Amino acid sequence: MSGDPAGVGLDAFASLYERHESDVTRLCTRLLGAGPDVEDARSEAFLRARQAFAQYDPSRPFRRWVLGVAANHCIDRLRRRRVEGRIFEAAEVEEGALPGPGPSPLGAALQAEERRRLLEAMDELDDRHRVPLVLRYFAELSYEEIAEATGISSSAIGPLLYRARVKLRAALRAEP
Amino acid sequence: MSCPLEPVWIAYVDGELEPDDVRPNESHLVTCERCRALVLALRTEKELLADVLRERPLRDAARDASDAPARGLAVGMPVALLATAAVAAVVGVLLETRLPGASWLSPTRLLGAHEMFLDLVFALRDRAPGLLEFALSVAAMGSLAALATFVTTALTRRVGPPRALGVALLLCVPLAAVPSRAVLEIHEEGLVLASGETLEGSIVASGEIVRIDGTIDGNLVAFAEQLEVRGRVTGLLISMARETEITGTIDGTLVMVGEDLHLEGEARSTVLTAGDRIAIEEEARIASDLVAFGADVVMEGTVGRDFISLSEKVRLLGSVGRDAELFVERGAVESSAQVAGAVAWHTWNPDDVRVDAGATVGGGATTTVVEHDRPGYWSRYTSASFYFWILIRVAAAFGVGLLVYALFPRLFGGAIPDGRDFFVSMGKGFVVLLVTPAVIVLLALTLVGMPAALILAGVLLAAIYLAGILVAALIGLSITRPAGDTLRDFGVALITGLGVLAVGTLIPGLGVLLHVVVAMVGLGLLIDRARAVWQRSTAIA
Repeated sequence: MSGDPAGVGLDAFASLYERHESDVTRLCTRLLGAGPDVEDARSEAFLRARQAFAQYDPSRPFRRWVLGVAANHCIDRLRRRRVEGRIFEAAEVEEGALPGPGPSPLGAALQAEERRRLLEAMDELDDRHRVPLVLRYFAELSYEEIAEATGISSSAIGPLLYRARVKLRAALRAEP
Repeated sequence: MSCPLEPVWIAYVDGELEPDDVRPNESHLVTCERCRALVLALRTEKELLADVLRERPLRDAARDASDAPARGLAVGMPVALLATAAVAAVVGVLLETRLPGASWLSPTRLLGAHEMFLDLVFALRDRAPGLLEFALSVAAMGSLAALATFVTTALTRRVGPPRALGVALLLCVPLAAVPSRAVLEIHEEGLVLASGETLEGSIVASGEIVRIDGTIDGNLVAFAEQLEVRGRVTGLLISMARETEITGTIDGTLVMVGEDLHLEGEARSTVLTAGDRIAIEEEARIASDLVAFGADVVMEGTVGRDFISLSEKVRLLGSVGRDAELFVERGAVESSAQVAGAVAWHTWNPDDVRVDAGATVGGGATTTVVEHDRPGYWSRYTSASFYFWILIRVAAAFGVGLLVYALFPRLFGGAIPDGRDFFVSMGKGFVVLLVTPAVIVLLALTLVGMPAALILAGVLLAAIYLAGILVAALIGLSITRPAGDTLRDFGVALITGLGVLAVGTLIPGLGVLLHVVVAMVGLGLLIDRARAVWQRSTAIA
């Protein structure tokens, strides 16, 4: 490992990646929905992360960095799914119109059944709500980083997260 | 001010509010109960979302369980004990009969232990960020404070309070310089020190990667996945990294614990290593001794003094300034090796160790065969000295027990709890047995905490000893049921209890388990009673 200029070799990358591999898979599943795409996205994310490893700043948590790389790739895939490739821009149009006081926040005391439904409701959110939600609360990216990855302005991230949460509350409270 | 909208509070909980907006919103929180409730609810919801996304059990489930720790312990401890007993029995039998394939269970094999230890350290880092660093700094500050208190108290006794205060203040002046070196500088998210850069002081670094290309003028303690030192550490280096690679120079003692340990550089003092694979490369220079505990040890470098290894397999290809003491299962001093002193093998397989023809060994080679059929578990029962030492131990415990009774008779009041309380006591003792050694290790790691660690270790050993005596006395009291509470009555009860325990621990297999149970229950009772005595004394005061 002392041979390459970065000083941190590929075996370092492999051992780090291995520990976060399951989170990368989970992120791809949350962003793309379960399906054949996930496996492709996962291996592509691995390759991209390996290439970009020289730019990784070791003072930052590796998990956030690698999930950021994987998220960027998944967002590219989401864009390709839409022919016009404009999935996130629409969000900014709505920015002014926030829903009024919605249902109150969800409590932690959910049964296993309700948690399963919550996960389903998340999968059913449209991309522009689901992606920031997953990037913030699973990948733990900052609003700024989410804005960078999605191309949404960073001031719109907060309102988007709010709307996403209101939708989830409604979905969970609506049906039995 | 009207209440801020919910998105504002979401950004607040996410830590994403503009710095200028934080203060006005926080002052609103102070006065507005409704928004406080909303912020709490949003925080709970955020945790719920993160948990569901991670498909992990909810925190609340854990909280519910902790509501009934006593019930959990009462159910859990017997189960845990039975499981431990079963595992211990199986492992004991496997080791004793030397089944092929069972050797990995042997305590001399370090593979599993290291992985478990490192996994524990990294799990702690992941699950409780900052905990290790926090514990280290608390230990460092605590031991400094303890030393300072000790010095002041001692001085007060000698020279009286006013002068002691004066001396303490005078001492503070030079001591003020101490924290800058003694108190640790902590890097939580890894550390990369570029070549040409210098850091001073005692550094604790943890994170994925710790890489030192520059110079650390002081000590370095590293917990990391990977540690690479290509520069220089002028003090001591303690590495707890899964992989350690040292190509630079270490002036102080070098301690490496991990899975893969490579030394290619120069160690100007002693090197102590414990790991699965230890490689001292050809370029490596060790000025003093090398001690290596490992599964697989390869020594190709130069050791100035002794080379001592306790390992499964060792290969010596380099040069040793004095003797090589090798406790191994298999090993070879190969033809390129040069040993100025003697080579001493200690092994139970004399056929599996060899000194190759080309090797230079100044003091000759000896092989001591460690008894393969060492005095087994059963043969001790036929030896008289075994019983003699038990008698000595019982007598010593009796003497100590009487002394403690004379000093603190209240300690021995009451009886051994039954049912659920028994297991609760045992659980408390279990926690003490588990946590105290961890605290001792952490204290010892801080270097300045070394004296405190030694004191604590002494206290723990004394407490375990006392725990046995306490349980013996309570057993004895419940058997003899003395009418009075004279020293003589207590003595009769104590010797009865000690006798019962001594006989109990003679039972093959179960004896060890009994020891453990007695230590745990006794420690638990000791804590309860010490607290009761303390509360009573403070209530009176």
